Amino acid sequence: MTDGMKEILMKTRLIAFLLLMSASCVLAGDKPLAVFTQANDAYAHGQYQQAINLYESLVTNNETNATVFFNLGNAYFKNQQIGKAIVNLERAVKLSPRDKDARYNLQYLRSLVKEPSLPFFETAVAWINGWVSLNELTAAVSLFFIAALGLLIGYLLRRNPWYALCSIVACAVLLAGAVWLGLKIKDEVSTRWAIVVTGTVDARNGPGTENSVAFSVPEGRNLIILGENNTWYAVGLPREGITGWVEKRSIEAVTAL
Amino acid sequence: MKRLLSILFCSFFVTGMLTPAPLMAADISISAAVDQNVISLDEQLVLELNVSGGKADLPSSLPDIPNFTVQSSGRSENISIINGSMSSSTSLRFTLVPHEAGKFTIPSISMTAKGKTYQTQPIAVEVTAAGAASVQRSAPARTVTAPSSAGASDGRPLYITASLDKATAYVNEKIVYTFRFFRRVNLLSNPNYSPANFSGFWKEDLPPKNYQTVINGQRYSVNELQILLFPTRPGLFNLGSAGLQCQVEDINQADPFAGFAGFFSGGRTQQLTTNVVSVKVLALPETGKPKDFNGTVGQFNVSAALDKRSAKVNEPVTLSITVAGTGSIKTIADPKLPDWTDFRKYETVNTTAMDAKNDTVSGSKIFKTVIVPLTPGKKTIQSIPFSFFDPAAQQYRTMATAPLTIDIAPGDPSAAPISYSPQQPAGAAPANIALVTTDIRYIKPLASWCAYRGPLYRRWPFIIVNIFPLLVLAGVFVFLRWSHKLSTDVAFARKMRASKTARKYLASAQKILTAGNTTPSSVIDFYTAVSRALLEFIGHKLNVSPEGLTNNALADMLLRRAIAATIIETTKTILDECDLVRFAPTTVTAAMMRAIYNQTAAVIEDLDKKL
Repeated sequence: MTDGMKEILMKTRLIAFLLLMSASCVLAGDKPLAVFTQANDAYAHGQYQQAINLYESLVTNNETNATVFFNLGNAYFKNQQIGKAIVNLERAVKLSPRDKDARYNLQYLRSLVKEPSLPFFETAVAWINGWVSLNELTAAVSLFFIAALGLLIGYLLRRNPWYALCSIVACAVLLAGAVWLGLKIKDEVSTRWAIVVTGTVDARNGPGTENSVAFSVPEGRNLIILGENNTWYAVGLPREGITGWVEKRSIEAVTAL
Repeated sequence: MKRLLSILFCSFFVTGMLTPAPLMAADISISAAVDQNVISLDEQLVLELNVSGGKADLPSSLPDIPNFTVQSSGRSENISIINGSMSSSTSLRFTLVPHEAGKFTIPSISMTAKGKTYQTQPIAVEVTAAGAASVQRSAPARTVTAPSSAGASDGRPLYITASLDKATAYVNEKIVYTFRFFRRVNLLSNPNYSPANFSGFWKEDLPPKNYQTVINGQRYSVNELQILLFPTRPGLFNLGSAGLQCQVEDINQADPFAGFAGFFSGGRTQQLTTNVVSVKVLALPETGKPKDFNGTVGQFNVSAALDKRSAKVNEPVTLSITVAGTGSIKTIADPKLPDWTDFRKYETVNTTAMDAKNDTVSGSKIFKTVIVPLTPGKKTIQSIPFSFFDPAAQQYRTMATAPLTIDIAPGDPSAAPISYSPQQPAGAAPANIALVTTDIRYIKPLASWCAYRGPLYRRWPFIIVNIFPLLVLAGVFVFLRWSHKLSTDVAFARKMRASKTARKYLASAQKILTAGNTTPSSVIDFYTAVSRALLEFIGHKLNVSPEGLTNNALADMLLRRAIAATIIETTKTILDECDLVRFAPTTVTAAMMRAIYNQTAAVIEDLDKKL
């Protein structure tokens, strides 16, 4: 490498560093709420791409909440990016499952992409799972755990049968909650749900364009990431029972919170 | 057999039509014919266009024929196979209703077949005055018209009549139109009913009636339709005639085989018309018309009610005015409400309930108006007049509601309603809402910022909070086990108490030492405390009684516990010195006392480590 090339490379790194610092300073200098309000204003004026950039800057800096994801999903939808819109509305619903607006918008978008409905049992499980958020359920289980232990300690020290009875009840509720929490973690964390975000995607029979196309998935459809190989994800469509490989850039994981 | 009869029938039918005017083009034959050349003014004639041997562009409607009203009466197609040769024919039928008597000509009609244009021959017909017998009727016709009159049956097997219950009526006054269908033959299909012209009226249908009657010794089945008409404007209204087309059994009494043939022929079409009816509608009189009259005609009562007896200022109250009775319910207009100073009124909505039966329309119309009290106090809503025209008495009448009172309490000025939907006042049923379009719900604002920090179970404070109760539980288990051992193992309990006991005695010795009191009694107490501290400590540690324990025995026990000889010797020295001072008083200085105290504390500390 010549001295000139080294100098160019150094200058490039310096410029990149300064840009990164300035972007961070913008967010660090402005409070997240100010950025959020600015994004809402952009949305209100129909400047959806600008709104997306501002909302995404919050997400990148880990300054997120259900409302940010809700508004970001709306902005993506207005910007004709339905896949990204569904990803963010899914996140909003996961964080705030009883938000009627988020649920309505997600349902509306799913109807637009003609997402097939789940079988009855899975619908029922999804309904129960969707009633509380993961953190709410975790907190509730934790509360019962502490209560059950407290009652047990009370019984050991006082030998009062009421403590024993209450402890047994708390333990039973704790057990049920723990099972529920386990299922929820399996569904929302262990199972890597993803959405197609780059238009209709060809799923191939192997990780690479040299493999034949197995099936096509329209933008906005739900799928599960089963594995990965370099720049490819192995994905499955549980409702159809088929699997294939898609490029990583064509889908976005919902659970990446 | 049926097909053969059909073929024969079609042949007779075609050849039997009067004045056939066939046009032959290659194998195509086109003709036009009427069923009668001479009809009376109250009769109709049937014109049939027939194309056989090919397909022609038959006109769907006829050109205007002067002095006749033309109505299409249907289309039929026949396919015949005779001696292996197939032929087809298509027929179009039109009903011609004459306007006036006289001699007329049905002009030639153009049709196109296989690229050529054909024209039928003109047909001359004569229309005589109404009621005159058509003596010159020609022979057999497939379709016949049956003139009707409102009166006698004339022995006809089926006929229809129309009538009105009055010849003159006022605007909005009820008129009963009655249509009756008399028959004493069976119908082969449901008849097609063509109603009269009811333009200029709004109408209410009454339930149809079916009954039987005897006319001139013959029993007829009667289907009766009644329609209540309410004229909307004055003038002379000609309702015209209603029509009925029906398929009946084709039974010729003179022909013994006709019934048999009729069974297979599928019957014949009968076109019936009623007499023409008209009514003169009078404008409502101007004399005596009340100021608040708004066009309601009939007999009505009016009442009013409030939905609550008391309310607060700015609290909405619903005023309901009910107009009930018989007459033109639909046209009852809103009662005129006065301009109140104590109430603000909003737009009125109404609901209508009607029941049409027994030649009358009865029902009610309820007008609901939201009024908002503006000032507190006992308020009275004065009588509200309502005027209508009674056609039976031929005069206007004015009814009034009873006065209503309501107590208005002072209210919150900020609770004033901003606006009310005129279509949906308080307490009214929600109106139907048409969804124009659907879209996502709008973005949300945030008043304060609260960021999501990831799953709770991955956060350290949460993990610590959940681990802490487990540590407490473990501690409780240890404590309980220790307590149990204390209560059941005496040696352990004494061993646990040894240091505490020694500290207690040493503390009392320290107290004397700190006071600097070297009186003989204090000195004895000091050395007693020191001696007790050491003996009690060793006694508890070795689970033996310190009472009566000699220094040599003590030394032997310590020796068995592998205690260093220097410690044993020091112990013996301390105890000997204590005994000497206690039992053989000598002069002791404070320095000596401090030395013995420190020595004792050190020995106890050493022994605590070993025992």
